[in-house]
Amino acid sequence: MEEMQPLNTKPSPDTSLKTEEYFINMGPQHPSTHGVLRLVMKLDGETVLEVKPVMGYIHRSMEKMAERDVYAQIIHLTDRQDYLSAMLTNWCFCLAAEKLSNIQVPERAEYIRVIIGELNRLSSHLLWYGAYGMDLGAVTAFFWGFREREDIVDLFETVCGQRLTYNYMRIGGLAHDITEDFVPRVKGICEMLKPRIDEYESLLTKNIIFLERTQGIGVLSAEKAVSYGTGGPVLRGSGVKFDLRRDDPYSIYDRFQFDVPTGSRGDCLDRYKVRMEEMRQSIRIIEQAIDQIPEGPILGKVPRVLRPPVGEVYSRLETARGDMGVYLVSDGGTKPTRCKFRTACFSNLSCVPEISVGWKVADVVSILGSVDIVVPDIDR
Amino acid sequence: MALINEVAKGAEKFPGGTFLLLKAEALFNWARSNSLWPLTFGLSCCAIEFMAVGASRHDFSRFGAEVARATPRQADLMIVAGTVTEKMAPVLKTLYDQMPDPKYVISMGACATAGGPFYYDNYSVLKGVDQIVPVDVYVPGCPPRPEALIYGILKLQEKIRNSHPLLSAEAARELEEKQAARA
Amino acid sequence: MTKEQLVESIKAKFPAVEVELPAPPSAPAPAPAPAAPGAAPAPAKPAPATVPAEFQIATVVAPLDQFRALMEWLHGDPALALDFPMSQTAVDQPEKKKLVSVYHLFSMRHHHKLVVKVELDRENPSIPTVSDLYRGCEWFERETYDFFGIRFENHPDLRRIMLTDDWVGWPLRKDYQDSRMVPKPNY
Ligand code: SF4
Repeated sequence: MEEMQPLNTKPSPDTSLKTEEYFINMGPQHPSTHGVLRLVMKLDGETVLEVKPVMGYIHRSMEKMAERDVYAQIIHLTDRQDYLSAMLTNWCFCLAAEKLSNIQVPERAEYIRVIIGELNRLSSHLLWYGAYGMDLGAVTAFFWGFREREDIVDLFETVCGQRLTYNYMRIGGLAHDITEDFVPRVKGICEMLKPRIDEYESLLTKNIIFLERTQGIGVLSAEKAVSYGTGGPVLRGSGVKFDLRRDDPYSIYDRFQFDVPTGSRGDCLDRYKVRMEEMRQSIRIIEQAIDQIPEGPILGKVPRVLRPPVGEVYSRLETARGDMGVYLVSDGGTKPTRCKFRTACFSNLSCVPEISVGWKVADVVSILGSVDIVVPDIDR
Repeated sequence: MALINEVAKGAEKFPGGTFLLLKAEALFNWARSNSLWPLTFGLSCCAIEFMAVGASRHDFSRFGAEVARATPRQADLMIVAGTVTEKMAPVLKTLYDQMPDPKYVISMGACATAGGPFYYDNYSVLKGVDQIVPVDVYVPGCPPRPEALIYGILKLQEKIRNSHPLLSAEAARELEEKQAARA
Repeated sequence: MTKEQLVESIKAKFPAVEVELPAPPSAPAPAPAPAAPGAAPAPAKPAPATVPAEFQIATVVAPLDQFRALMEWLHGDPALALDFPMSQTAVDQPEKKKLVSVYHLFSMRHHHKLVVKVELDRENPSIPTVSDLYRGCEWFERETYDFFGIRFENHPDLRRIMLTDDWVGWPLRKDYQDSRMVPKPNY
């Protein structure tokens, strides 16, 4: 698509009329905050002067619970943080525990993890596509996104028995082996999705209503994106070519070829485009990995009761929303002394107050949708 | 509704009045049970399954419950989908109070039912939404499958169909006793 | 920059900073005394397990009074350019009567990581904020205040972030008591 001039410019304040500033609440129960996030907005007419997110409405004290659980029991907590890419959050915690106690993961498990992880990224982006379309008034997008997501969720259901909170990764490998029809089904999903992604793009990418509501809105500069600690599509949308899979590689991602799409302006449209391109790259990774799954065990040599040595690790992983980290401190016992989840949405949301100033209330909906938040991932 | 109740109270005294009221009730219940308007109220993970119920494959509009409303003032069914925390509890109570009568609550998932996975060693989660609002149907699961939620909605419809919005409490009890004796 | 170079350069600029990791290459263990002929060979003692070195991040412990200067330098120096806040949190150590404030930093340009730790008094923990250098730390610090009660001086908006404003206590400290908490039974 050829470069277009930005359609939207920030509305300049009209000084001829005297108005009074006032506050409104968006949320905690509001369809466009995707959960129970509350935004306190100071407005002048329709123009946003200040946004203050109030969170914690779904704070579930996971870090406290993690201190009282043995390592293997913490995995199910990570499911419930970023539940749209629960496989990836599972993986992030397992990665940290494996590093801490120096456990080798078998090849077969690594390959399956990559494939499942990328599929989960796809399903998460599909849901985001539907929800974002719905936020901006395109209800068809919602139905399309969910239609394809169901196929991926079905596949997950056959491998681990759950549709949403998978609890599939284990420290040192996986809980179950894949079923026989797994490989053909994954191939089928890839084939099915490739034309569908083009179809999605044809619905929104050149749609003038969609462009008017995203182009030039909520611009986040590259510097700010780094300083706020954002990650994933938000960071890349601002033009920073950084992907943990490529630049701080974990698992076996260094064996695959894929591009890191970036935006140029850092507006909502760029973040949208980065996600759409990321879906294609995920399919590319899956297609490279699916034929190479080696035979072998799926669980490494793990002691029955894990007692990691005294020490600490910080491991990072690229979830569908960005840079997730787990900081584990061990005192040599069976339970961690401190388990900090640094989640992607928490940092991604922290830039929203800055980029929404000066826009209209309806644009805040568009900005929030483009940042793609999952509220329990913010609150934990 | 108040006026209708007055009329119903009067009608009960006449011979055959109960029969008429039962017919009217059937009409009321039929209308109520087949046009449940849920409140879009997603709290956490279970909300995604709630969304899936509304989306392409499962589609609960087949049971007359598709008009998800964003404001409590137009909704009569609250599906509590997810964990209720201490900070959220007053908000949830306010939303419930804002809903017009008759109103129903479905508690979806282990969290809303009893605290679920967040029961032990937890300082911020409410152990069950039934501590603050009355619940009609509990749907177990973490998260419940979409089919389970649909089953829950059907159960609620059944419950509404067997309710007596017009009859006085004594008459309803009498009627039930009669039915039990006949069975 | 490798981990060793990183801590070297910090040590050169701020001699008061203690280096926790990477550990200096340990001297080879002294060869066991030759066992008396005929005696049963002593059972080999397993080496104490440690976290593998490649997963450890270079760690420095800064004194409180130099902390702010250190962070400014780490953020601004082009050779280090640690500009990405990976995380900020705290660790409670009641037995040492300390709260440790932990900063995980990353450099987008050079792709190296550094952990900065500051030990604080558990009774009255207070530390200068870095939220003007790292904007993302503004919320991380609010969270640490909320859960551990560390006060960040000059923080623009130091309020509770997750819990309600009238909450009593600091829930992630080890000695936190709450009547609502049902202890997990030991199966
Ligand atoms: S019941 Fe399970 S899926 Fe539902 S909100 Fe609770 S943790 Fe999430």
